[in-house]
Amino acid sequence: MNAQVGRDNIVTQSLGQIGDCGLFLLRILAAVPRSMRHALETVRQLWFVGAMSLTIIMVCGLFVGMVLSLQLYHVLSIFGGTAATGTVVAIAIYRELGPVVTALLFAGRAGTSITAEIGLMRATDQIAAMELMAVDPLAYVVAPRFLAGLIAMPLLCCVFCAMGIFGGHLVGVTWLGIDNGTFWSNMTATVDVWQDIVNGVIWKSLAFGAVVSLIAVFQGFTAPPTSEGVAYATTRTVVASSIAILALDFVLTAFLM
Amino acid sequence: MTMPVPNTPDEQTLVRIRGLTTVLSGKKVFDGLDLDIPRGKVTAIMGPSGTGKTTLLKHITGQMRGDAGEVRVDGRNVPELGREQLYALRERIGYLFQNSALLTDFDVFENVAFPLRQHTRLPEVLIRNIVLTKLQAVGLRGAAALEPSELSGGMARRVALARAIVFDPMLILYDEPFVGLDPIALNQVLKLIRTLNQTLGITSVLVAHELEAIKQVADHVYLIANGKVVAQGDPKTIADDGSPWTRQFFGGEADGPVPFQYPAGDYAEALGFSRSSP
Amino acid sequence: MSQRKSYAVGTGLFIVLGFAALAYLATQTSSVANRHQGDSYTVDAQFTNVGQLKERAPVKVAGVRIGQVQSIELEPGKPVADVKLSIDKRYASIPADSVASIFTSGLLGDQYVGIEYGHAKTFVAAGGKLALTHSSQPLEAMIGKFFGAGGVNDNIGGTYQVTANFTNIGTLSVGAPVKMAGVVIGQVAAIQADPVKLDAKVTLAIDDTFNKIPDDSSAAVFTSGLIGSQYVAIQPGGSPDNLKNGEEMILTQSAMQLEDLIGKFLVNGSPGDKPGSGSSSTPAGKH
Repeated sequence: MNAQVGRDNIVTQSLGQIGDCGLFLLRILAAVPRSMRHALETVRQLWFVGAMSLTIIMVCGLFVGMVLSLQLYHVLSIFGGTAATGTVVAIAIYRELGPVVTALLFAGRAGTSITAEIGLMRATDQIAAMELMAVDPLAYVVAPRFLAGLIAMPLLCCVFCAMGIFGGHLVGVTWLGIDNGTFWSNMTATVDVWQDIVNGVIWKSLAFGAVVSLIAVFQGFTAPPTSEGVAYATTRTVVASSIAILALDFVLTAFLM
Repeated sequence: MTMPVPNTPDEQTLVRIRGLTTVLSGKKVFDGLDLDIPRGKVTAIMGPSGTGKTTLLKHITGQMRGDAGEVRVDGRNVPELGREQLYALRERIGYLFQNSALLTDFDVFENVAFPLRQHTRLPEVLIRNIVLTKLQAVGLRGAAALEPSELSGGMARRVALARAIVFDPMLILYDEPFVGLDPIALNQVLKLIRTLNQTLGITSVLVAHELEAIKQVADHVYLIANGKVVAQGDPKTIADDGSPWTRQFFGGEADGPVPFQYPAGDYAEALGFSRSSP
Repeated sequence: MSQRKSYAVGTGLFIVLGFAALAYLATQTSSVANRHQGDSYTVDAQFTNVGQLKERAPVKVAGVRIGQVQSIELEPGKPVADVKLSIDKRYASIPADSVASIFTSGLLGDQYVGIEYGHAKTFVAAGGKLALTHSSQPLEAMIGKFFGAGGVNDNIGGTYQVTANFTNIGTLSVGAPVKMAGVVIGQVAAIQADPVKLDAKVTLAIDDTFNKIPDDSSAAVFTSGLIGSQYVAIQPGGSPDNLKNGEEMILTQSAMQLEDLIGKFLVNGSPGDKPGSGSSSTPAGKH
């Protein structure tokens, strides 16, 4: 696929990858209507990339909320503002930590498995076999995984945020003794549905889901059909996803906030 | 070189290749290749490694397109087909991969049922009957519930064969079907190829190196080298046609028209001895 | 096929869980939780200064939330802000002589309306009015009162642009709000140094709807909270004549330097009063 890339310098190589990735996105989008015939496959992928990622997302969300609450409590107690702990935990999780950490975990948990799976399917001729059985691999293999990632990310992010709030409450209220009513009322007085939950949680995580899924399927689909090629593609999925998530986070924050 | 070819399906010939020329990364894989595959027969394509036998199969299925020439399958020129037509054509072609290429997501039954599920809306009972019939034909009905990872190489190839014939195709392409099989499995696959050809009349194309095996099933053999057909004929007599290609290939000689040395620069120079030095 | 069905069920559960989490976030942890409440009734309260009070700020009795601020309006021509409180039906028995005050949660927190129950036998009806109120205390007013340094002056003005001279405007900048009773009625249009009087001449652009500001009103430079930005507060006087375009508000109260105040406080020692609890109701134009 990328035979002529050769040993260019890193800038042209990266630009070429981004360009190929964009073209690949167009091919996926063109294949989406055809993939509707394989809706069950999308559901199955949603199970693998979404439901199977729940454990890690929930545990990590819980600990992020707990540590955030702990840190904020100690800093805010300097100013006598521990009542604001709930507010700051919620704002920090909704606007930044929720979408970003979920996306990074998602890239590590689901993105890599998508890349490795598609890469190995190509290496073992399964992709070619599908083409020869007149099944379009873009519609049957790639598009369902892309869609599943796109759908799963916001849902996972919501679960992450809910667990984060729960963890923050656990440490702040149950352990450190912030007043329960203060914790919630300060939070509810400050958190705005559109600004924080729709813009912060939903749009960001949708964008991250699209980017991570796209990178994962692209790397898998274009991986050289060797064990080294698949291993390298998997690594690149994590590296490229992480960079893309954090860069996109800045851009989205600048536009949405 | 290219002869006029009728646009309608030919009664005798299923696949007709004329003047096929393909250049892959600077190397001419095919150089005006002409080849006919007759209907209802088993045709074997042989040749030294790297002469593009698998590439030829990819041209027939439309996975690759040549730079010039025609590949007509059942009258239609494959390189000119659009995606829908190409997929319609592929539904009528079975393809057996060298490594079987079973879908690791599914068990044996679902692997064989896969094309049916993708292209038809048959009731579950009917799908089950068709799949079990095909599995019975390859002798693996009892293995329906196994995962692909639990199969031996020979079994996997037979499952792949069951999958390839699930739609009763007009043409089956076998890519190196005998590689890595023990003598028992090899004979089982041989028997299957023969049975499928004789009972169902499926046209078969074999890419293989094993002359002994080919002698048992093939009706016609093409020997390809240097991007051209260098010899063809009955498998039992082709080895004796006297050309240097057949003598080297079937005689197993190390050097001949296919050189022992891969093309390289001057040896003395590569070792650092200058030719002009005294 | 059965194995696919189980995926479908599991995936369905996953989607339901995701949406449940979203619903929880949206309704329980955000401002929707405040908007969403049972039947409520509305009570009016008037404050001479609402400070940083915002719509949807909580209304509390004994620290427990019983409702929220529905709207804050300043009727043209009136010197007081009209605050409508939306209170939960369950707390329908608020004595008529209860006192509504604007408090701040902590030093830097948001402001809320606190109601202290009175002893009257009659209750405030829906649409009724809480007559007794304590306004928000600008920090300067509290500190100023504490030191007895609160300069209060009367003045004249105009309908569109009026000027006011301050000996010190602190960090006031062009565009800063002009507030009356805590509600924005205009903004600072220009700030110039006066070459003759050697002080700062501030031009205030005031909304035409507020053309009935008495000409003995005073202008003061206040700070929003402890570390907030500065604004000009107009304290209405009682004169029958109103400010007109181009007039000057002669008597003004300049920005106080926190450093000066704290320095004075340290030198003079502490009076017996606690500054944080400043709860005296400030009638307009106090002396």
